[in-house]
Amino acid sequence: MKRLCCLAILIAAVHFVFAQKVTLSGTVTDAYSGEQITGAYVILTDTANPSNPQGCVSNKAGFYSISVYPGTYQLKVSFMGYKEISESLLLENKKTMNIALEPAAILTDEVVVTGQQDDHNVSSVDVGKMDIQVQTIKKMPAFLGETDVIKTVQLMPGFSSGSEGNSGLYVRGGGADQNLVLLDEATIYNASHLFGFFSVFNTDAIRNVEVYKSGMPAYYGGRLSSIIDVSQKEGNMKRYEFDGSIGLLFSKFTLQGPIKKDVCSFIISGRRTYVDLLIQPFIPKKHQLKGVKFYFYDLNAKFNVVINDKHRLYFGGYYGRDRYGYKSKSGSTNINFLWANAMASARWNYIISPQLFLNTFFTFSHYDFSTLMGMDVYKFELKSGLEEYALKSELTYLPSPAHNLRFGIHYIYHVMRPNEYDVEAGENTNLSLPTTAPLYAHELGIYVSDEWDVTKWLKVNMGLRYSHFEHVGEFTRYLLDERDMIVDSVVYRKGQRVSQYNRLEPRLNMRFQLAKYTSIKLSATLNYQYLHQIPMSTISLPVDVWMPSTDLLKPQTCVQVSLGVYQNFYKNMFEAYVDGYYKKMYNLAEYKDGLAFNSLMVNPDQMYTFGEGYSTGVEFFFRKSKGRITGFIGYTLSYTKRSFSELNNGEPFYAKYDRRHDVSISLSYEILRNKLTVSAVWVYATGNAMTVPLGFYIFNGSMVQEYSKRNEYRMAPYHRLDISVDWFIAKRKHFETSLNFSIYNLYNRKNPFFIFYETKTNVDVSQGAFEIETKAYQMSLVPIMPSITWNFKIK
Amino acid sequence: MKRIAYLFFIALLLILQFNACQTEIEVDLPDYQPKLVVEGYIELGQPARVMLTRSVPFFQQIDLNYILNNVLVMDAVVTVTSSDGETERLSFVPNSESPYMFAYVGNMRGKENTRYDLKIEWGGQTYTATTSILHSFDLDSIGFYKMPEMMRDTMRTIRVLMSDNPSEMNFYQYYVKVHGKKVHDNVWITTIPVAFDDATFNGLTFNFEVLRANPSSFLMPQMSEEEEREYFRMTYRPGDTVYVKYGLIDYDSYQFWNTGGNDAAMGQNPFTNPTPVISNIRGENVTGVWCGYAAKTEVLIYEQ
Repeated sequence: MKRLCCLAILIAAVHFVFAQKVTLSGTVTDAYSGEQITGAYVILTDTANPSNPQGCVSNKAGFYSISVYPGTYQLKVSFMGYKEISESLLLENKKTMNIALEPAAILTDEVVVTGQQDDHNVSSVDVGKMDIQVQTIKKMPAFLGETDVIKTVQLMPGFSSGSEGNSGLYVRGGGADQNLVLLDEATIYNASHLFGFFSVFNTDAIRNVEVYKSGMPAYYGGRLSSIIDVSQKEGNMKRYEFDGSIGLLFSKFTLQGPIKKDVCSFIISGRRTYVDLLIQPFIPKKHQLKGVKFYFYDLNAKFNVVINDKHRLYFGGYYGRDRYGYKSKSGSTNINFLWANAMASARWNYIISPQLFLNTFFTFSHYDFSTLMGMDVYKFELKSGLEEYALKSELTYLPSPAHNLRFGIHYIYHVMRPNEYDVEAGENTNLSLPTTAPLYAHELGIYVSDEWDVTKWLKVNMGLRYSHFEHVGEFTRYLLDERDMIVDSVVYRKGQRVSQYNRLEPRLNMRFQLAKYTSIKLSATLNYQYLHQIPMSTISLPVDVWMPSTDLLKPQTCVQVSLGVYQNFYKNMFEAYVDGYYKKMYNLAEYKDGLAFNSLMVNPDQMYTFGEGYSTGVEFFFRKSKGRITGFIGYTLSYTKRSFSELNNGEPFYAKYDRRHDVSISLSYEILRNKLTVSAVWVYATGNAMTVPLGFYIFNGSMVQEYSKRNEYRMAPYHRLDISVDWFIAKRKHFETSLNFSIYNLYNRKNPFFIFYETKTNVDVSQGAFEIETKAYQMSLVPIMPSITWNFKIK
Repeated sequence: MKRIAYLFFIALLLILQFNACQTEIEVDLPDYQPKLVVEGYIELGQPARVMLTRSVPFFQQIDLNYILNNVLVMDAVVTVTSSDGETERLSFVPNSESPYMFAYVGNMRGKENTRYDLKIEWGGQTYTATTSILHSFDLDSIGFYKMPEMMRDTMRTIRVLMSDNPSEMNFYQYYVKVHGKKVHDNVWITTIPVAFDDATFNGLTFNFEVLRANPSSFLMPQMSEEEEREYFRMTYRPGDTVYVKYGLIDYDSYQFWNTGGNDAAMGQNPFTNPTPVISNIRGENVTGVWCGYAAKTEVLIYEQ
């Protein structure tokens, strides 16, 4: 309560100071579709004092608000890919002005589509934040005809994928569980399809992507390493549109349009892979691949309604499923892996006054995984999953162009089901594996942040987040002896508190503007993460279970400091930055070594061992975003180590995905304007660290390996070149069509997925033969892979 | 749990087998210093048997000469002392149970509820270990069992009914030997898992199947595919004479089997971090186990 009083006093005080100003506010939308535009720049220049323009950026609801002294102003509104609006404006009283920007591309063919690329990257206070436009993602070479959000993010310095066939995302030395992936504010717990080759985000259904790798503002919480915040499209408010792509691997279709023009609209988008259906007729009856099922599909939908100028409601949903398996014709062999993500979100935007904006969400997320192995009478089934129910309400207060205050409260209820077994071994055999009972937890975040233009050269975003986490019953805590055998247990009732944590998370970002095109940015943040996903293997898998913090499993903690120099050249034609960081992480968890069968009986958190880690590095980025040739070069030099007292004899070791060098180069050339574009991406990464066998001995008739220290060896480096050609065949008023040709891994690089060893022996002591020889082999996943996709749009 | 990840990968590889590609590579390994490997057993009613070898660099090509010069340890002084106060020095003699045909063997017979200390002196170093033979127990029943839906109706498994003592933490080990004509037919082979605790069935009377344990393909003469199919199977056939050895081992021995033994028997998963082997042998640069085993043996004949 005290905190709320303080907030109220703060608002009142700030309001008083700026009371004599007038406010211009409204929403920025796309004139063609009526969709709101996030990140549009609204700038007011006082005609009497043109050297001191005031500006703001539209938020996710397209809302903007600027408070200035009464006078005559020149208003400029711009956003990349749209025609800039510039008009003179007399401001005497508060004024609401909704602005519709026209997409530049549909005006005439002569218009160069650059929009107004300004120096936002230099002038903003955001450190380690990137806004990725869907157009940028769609320009990247496609893998099997599909461009992907996460694949594009992975090209940026500081982000890496681990390896092909790995669904994890590793940001600045963090773990795969340390990324908060949001789709319309609902958490997506496994953002991968097909073992990480695709993400759950269908680029036809999304509007924009915001990514943070450092300097996370106080309104984000719950993860240490990154935020990937994806917003779904809202649906065209003006006219119906049907578009789609037909490719070799999958097809996708999107339908959107107004239910009532300018009042409510919908969008529905779906895609499915069908290569399993296509190949089945060609597989001979007795071939082992007959009966193979592997596909994924997903469905996005959104509906929104404008109630009036002040209120707007949105309802969004997503469902996606992966299934990979095999079932023999007789049904005696059945192997299946299934996983599914689902989310639903409801959002209410309320413009309370020109300076106050309220955004309230209710979201639901679900993730489940199951694996089934059946062979004759034997059946083994493992299921795991989780649900999250969240409510978030945020008030944005814009007292003057110098301040952007945000207050919010975010509550989440977690239900986690780590594992549930179903085992059958024929009749009369009662073999049962213990199911871990669901775990329940409450998570609460209360935050305040202010983005403050202190002086012309100093801008600060400071914030404070209070987070509370509570693990509650029902829960049974086992007490173990020194052999990890259960000797007793403590039972907690439903709702009874088992453990709780209260933490304060200060966040600070500062920007020092040294010159018009030069700035230095500094960020220092402290983050806590109350959820954990401890990988069972060295790569991230959909089987890895999520766990809440408990009395044993303490919240993961991260302190990160980042310092960067940002510089643009030639009137923002080129942008560049160098960003150095140091990141220290505590309470990281790994599975203990040598777990025995009794580990099936204990609480999951009793199988973990705890340690810490750090990552430090420097990132270089250079981009050209105007003209017919665009592209970027990113390079990261980094070191990431972990230290666990119970692993590797207590000695620090390199993290599996420690990357000494990471390079990505992306180029796009528009050969014929609006007709033909060629793009290429080249990536290079230091090989993953791994533990290798150094020696072996024969024991009990088998070969036992003696290993190196943990992650002492490096695999061969990863590199690959992809190219893509987009040919826009027709672009008419009501119909557009294009073809995309892509080649993934153009020079057929055999990148290491894993290394394995094969030992050939010939031992027959009676014949005097005793020969043993071992060789190493490397497994690679994706060779050169061409694809073709046909895209169309009917409107 | 980690085994689930392994199964997952088998499926992943099955799915991706169209395009997965395999190439032989050179792995430049750091230097490796061989260790002394102790494989020592003392069973109920049997004399102590200890095999001493040295481990070898991973990619070393090995032939009989290499075994004789660099692997087999023939000149150690191996002594066993019981908690009854008896001491004896084991002699290096031919032994059919050893893959190298030789072992250090004693005369003193293992007794129930007795502790045994092992001392090895070799190369100027002394290595020691302690184990116990616990008490033995009887199975409730054991016999051949025809599983429903068994593909061929002559195939059988062996079904055991066993009662676990609820008042103690037990660690079990089972071995199977199938009588046959070839040398490698007549060796004891651990079932999978190599050793297991009673956490999942403490105090229960329960059934389980003892499948035909296959000798590691590692120590076998080269076979044709047909011979392999014939040899590596999980069930018993008419004419098989099967020996099943079962009993308790102590916790320290169990830790070795659980860390070193299981991975050896099941093969390595390229996606897990390897488990360091926990040995009960004390000394510098040494691994292996000194394992007391309160074993009993049942013989089952599957009549033609």
